[in-house]
Amino acid sequence: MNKVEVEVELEGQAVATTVEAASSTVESIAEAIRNAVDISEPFYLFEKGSEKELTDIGNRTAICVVAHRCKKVEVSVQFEHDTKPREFSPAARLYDVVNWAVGKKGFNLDKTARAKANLMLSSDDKQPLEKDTPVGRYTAAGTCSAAFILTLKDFTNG
Amino acid sequence: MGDPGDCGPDRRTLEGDLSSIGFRAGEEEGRWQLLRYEFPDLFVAIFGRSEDGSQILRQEFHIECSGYPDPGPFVERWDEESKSRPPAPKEGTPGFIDAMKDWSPNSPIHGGIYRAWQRYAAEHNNWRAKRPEEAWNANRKLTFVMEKLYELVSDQACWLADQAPAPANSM
Repeated sequence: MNKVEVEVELEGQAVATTVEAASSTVESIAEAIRNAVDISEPFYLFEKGSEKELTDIGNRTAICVVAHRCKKVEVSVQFEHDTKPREFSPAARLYDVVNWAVGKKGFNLDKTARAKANLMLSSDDKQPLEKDTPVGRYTAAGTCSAAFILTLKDFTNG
Repeated sequence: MGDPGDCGPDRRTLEGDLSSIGFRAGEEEGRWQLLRYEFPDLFVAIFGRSEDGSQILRQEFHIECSGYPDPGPFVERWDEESKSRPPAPKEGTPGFIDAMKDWSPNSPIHGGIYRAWQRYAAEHNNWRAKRPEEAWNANRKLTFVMEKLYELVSDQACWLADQAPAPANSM
């Protein structure tokens, strides 16, 4: 069985922790995480970017995962005077949320507007959120929900 | 890769990043592939995906890493078969076309990918200060650039998927 190097983002911690699992099974990865960090509550494991819970990863030797108390996060995105909800896994990237929000099932924006789309937590924020970060990083304390504002403020280099 | 003892600090840092969990995970996920490495030059393929996975787009890039991590990497369009920079694309999302365009910080230098995280573009119109969350800094890892390239190519993959004709209804 091959050892697996795991980079794990835990709920509430923006800086990832690195652990080594003895094998590629989910149980082995979860055990390595529990042994490395002081975490007693049950958590769900997802590969970063995936909507599905982590399963056996075969002959992989490196993986980035998200460990979160929530199995699903109720995401709401506000754009102008409208708000739309959708469930995402805690490991979904904000890039995926933006893609949904600008698409036909979201606010159905034109291609020029799409190019400017970013997410923010507050309209007072000076900078948008990094699109590579997982949804689970932004859940409100004690909940399985996260709220974002879709902005088309032109951050390009005009 | 060479004996770390023969390397300067830029090469050691870069090769540490190439061995990192994040970079290797991206390779194993099939999101990118290291085609060729001859320090300070990396040649990579990015495999962007549309939202439903129906469209996978391969795009190659050259990443030049002298002095890594400061200054940040220079990144340009690339075609590994001809070992040259291909023409800028003319069709696609506004963001993809803008990022992949030909431009120059100082003629005749080619400016590379026009995004705040790329070496020359960061200094253009003070973009680094305007977009710190997008800009390269010496604490970043190479995976940061790879993720930005993946987003860029995936945007174009989404656009291509939207252009594809809808399947004919079957009776």
